[in-house]
Amino acid sequence: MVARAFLLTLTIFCCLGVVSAQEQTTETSNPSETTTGAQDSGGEASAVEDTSENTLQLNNSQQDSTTVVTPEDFNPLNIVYRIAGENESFKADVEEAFETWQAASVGAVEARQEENASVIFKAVDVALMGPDTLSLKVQNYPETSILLTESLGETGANLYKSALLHEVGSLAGLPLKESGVMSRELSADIVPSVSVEEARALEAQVNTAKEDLNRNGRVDFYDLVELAKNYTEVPQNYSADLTGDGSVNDDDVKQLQDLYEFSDPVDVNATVADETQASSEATTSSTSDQSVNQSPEQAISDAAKAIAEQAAQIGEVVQEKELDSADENPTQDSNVTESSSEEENSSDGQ
Amino acid sequence: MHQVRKVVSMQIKTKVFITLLALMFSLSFVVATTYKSLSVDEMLAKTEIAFQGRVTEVVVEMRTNQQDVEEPWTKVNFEVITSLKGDLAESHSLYFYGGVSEETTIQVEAMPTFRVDEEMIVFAYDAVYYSPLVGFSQGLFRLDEESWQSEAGKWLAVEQGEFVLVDAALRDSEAVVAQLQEAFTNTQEDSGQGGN
Repeated sequence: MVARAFLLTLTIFCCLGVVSAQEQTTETSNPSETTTGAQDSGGEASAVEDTSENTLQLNNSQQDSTTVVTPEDFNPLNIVYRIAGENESFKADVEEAFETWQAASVGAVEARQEENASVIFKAVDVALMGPDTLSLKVQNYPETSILLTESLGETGANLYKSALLHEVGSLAGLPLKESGVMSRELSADIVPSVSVEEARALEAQVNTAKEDLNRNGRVDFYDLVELAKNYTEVPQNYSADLTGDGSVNDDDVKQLQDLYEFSDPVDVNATVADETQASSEATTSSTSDQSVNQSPEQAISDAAKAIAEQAAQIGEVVQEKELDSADENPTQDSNVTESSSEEENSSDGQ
Repeated sequence: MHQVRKVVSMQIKTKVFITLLALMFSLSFVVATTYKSLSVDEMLAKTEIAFQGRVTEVVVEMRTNQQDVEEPWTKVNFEVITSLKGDLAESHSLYFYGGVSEETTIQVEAMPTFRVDEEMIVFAYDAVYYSPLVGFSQGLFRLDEESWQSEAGKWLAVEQGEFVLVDAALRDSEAVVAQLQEAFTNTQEDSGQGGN
């Protein structure tokens, strides 16, 4: 509770500073485009060339300077886990799933097994899983257990391996998709492999500044929201574990705070109508693009962003109108100006 | 002028802050947990118990697992409004793995949650599984907008005598129940004839 209160306080602090400015909805260049992936023609990611020669430029339109993220800043997702029991074939299957992701996205994931890891893979009997459930993620503080059953028969082998890939991908912070191994509903004809798109999504997790959790090119309020969503001793999304200590906690908040960018004040000279239209188009496009693959929680998160953007725009419009009104009504404006001047004088006096 | 701008700005800030804060702390973790994708026909074929019911009680009970560790299970009691398949009494209970007890909390990703007075159609197995629903959560349709909505946000509807999942509510809840009754009756008759 104390930690959450701390985060809440920080959120209030950050929120009051950031919402007065317009949030940029334009996407930065796709991080994955800066990598030179070598994929086979079959659509599966067999290997991706080393990205050490690449740099990613985070264009910050709010500032004159451009932040350049060098390869040294890349933050491989560090997943620590253990496998319960002595089932050797299950152990091999879990390790193979990690290796598959690692092969598909070179340098994006570092995984190691530790005896006291809080993430535990468990092979369980099909008796309790039922005929349709392939894997279960179970939170039992401070542990996260991932339950799978091997007993799916030959016809279920692909489903079982796909479920394993899904679980590893989700540990790495990949979002749900409508198809492929990152889909929650796995179809009987699924091929247990990592697609190029999924591999690039994983690379994108590391090819931006690690504090930029939503990968939009800026470390801002929305990254704080992302961190808050994962604020727990047992992280669900390892990209939020900024310090790499195996938990998302106050240290991660502090690290995000260090790079936090407060937005500039609203530019009252900007053409509100144009920006509103551009933002609306961007929002519409974003919504239509993502709606297919969104989980309800993603939709809520996006809705929150959209609300914030629209509120900021409304604020601008209101301010514009106030400015216009002030120009048309000098008497009222003079009153406000006097009041403002008095306040400024008072402030100066203090 | 500065004063006006400050007031307006603060109003906007407050609204946005409240909205975001509410959303932030209502968000839960949602990744992982997988299950077989089933069509409606596949679900109907697998279903052992089906009913239209209303949630009357949600309680957490501790159960001992194979390792002699007590774990919370959520017991959901339903008032059976319309029995569709299976030998059901006026009320029926289903158990779901996980829940919050005084001793421990177990949260299962993507596990359906229930509220008293919710009305729903349930396709379930007559067995104890982590989730007794057919297709983990796919066999659950909640009444909303006079239609039955799945956990994935699709709507159960009848089109040309076939059950389909559609994107929009068709306000045909009673028609769907009637069609399900007919479908399950036909299935039972077919299986009965096959048995003979």
